[in-house]
Amino acid sequence: MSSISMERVIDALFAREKAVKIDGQTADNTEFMKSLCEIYGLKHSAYITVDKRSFASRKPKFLVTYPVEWQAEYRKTFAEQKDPVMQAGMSEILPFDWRQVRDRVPEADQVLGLAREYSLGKQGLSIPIRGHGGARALFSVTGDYNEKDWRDVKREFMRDFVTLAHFFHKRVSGEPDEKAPLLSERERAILQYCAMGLTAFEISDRLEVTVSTIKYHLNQLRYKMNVVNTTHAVAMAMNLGIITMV
Amino acid sequence: MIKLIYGHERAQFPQLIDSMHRLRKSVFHERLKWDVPVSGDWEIDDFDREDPLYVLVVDAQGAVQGSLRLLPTTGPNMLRDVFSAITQVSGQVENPFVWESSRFCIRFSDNKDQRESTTISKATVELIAGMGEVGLLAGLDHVVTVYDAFLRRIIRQTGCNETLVGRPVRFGRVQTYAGLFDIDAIQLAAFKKVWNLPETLIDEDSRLRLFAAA
Repeated sequence: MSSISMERVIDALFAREKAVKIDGQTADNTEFMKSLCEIYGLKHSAYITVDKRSFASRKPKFLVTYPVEWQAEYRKTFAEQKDPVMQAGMSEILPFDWRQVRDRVPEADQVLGLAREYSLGKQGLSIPIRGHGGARALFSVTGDYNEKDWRDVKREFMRDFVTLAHFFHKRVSGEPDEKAPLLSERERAILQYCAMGLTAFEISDRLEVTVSTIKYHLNQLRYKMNVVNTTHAVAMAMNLGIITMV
Repeated sequence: MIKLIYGHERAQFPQLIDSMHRLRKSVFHERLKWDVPVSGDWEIDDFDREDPLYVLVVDAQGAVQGSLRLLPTTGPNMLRDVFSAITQVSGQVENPFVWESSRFCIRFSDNKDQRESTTISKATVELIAGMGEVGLLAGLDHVVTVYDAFLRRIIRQTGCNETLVGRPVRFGRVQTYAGLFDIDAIQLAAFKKVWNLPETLIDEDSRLRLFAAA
């Protein structure tokens, strides 16, 4: 279900975290975004978030891999007025292609012009995130592809992007997660079977539930633990002593 | 026909939105007597302000015959923020691949009490199939719905299977359940075949808007 690329992004992130822990510095989240771009063949990645209070004033927090010149220019342009593209994007509920923004947001030209000027990428895709307490975020990636290849990238990796976007949001927004994930008895049992090498079908057979129910529990526990795949969930659960080695 | 409306674009569809809120009032406030906020002819609550995705069954005359409201479970939603007692023991339903459907409703026929009726209306199966279609296009694995015993029976009568999540809890006078529906292409195709529904129920405009990311 989860792709090899996704695992590589997270491995790169963890390797980097280990390195910075030795240096005694805090992990730089834009490093995660850079590895994501490298591994998926993307040009840039951006994360913008507003909490409920700042939603009205639209004072967002940014984490971007865009050039610093763009950042300065953007801040200058939108110091007084609101960025209409970001504003519209925060209301969206499903991933959207930047190509569609031009039609939907009449005032988009300025932002899109700025993106062109600094060659942020020919194509862009944003994934809206709804978080706790009414927080909203947009996780975006850009690419320099021909139209066909861009469609293929989206088709093949959309699920990865949605997973990684939520992983990243939980990580930076400080929503409760990894330290002591409270797994339900059922989730713990499923994870123990995963550690034993059973497939979802085999687990469903043992627990006498549908495969879809197992899929649901795996989605639930991965999100709770804020890991992107089951391998990482098993490793974390073993570290925490929630499940045992077999 | 199924029409999709994005919460932040509701002003572009004043008649459909009006028709939906009136239907919701007639079903939840007048018929089922749920404790729901009403405002004039409308039933409308805080979650309508969370930019949901509305799924509407619209008839040839443009009247809304059924509707539901979708919200991601990672953000504000009724199961977490209102009905959390249901999942207190089993844990909150929350991951990017399950969305919540709330305010699932179907227009009652005017002249007979459908609480006693065993006939399944076309709008009911269209709404269920529409929810499945949207779920597939949105890349979901499941949809979780909060409903009462009456709506649950109607849905089950269509042959649509769900798994209960958590435990039923009584809120006011209503025994309330949370049901988990699979979003699955094969199950949806089989459901459509049984009810003689077309391959695509979602209208062209709504589909183009949804396909924007594809």
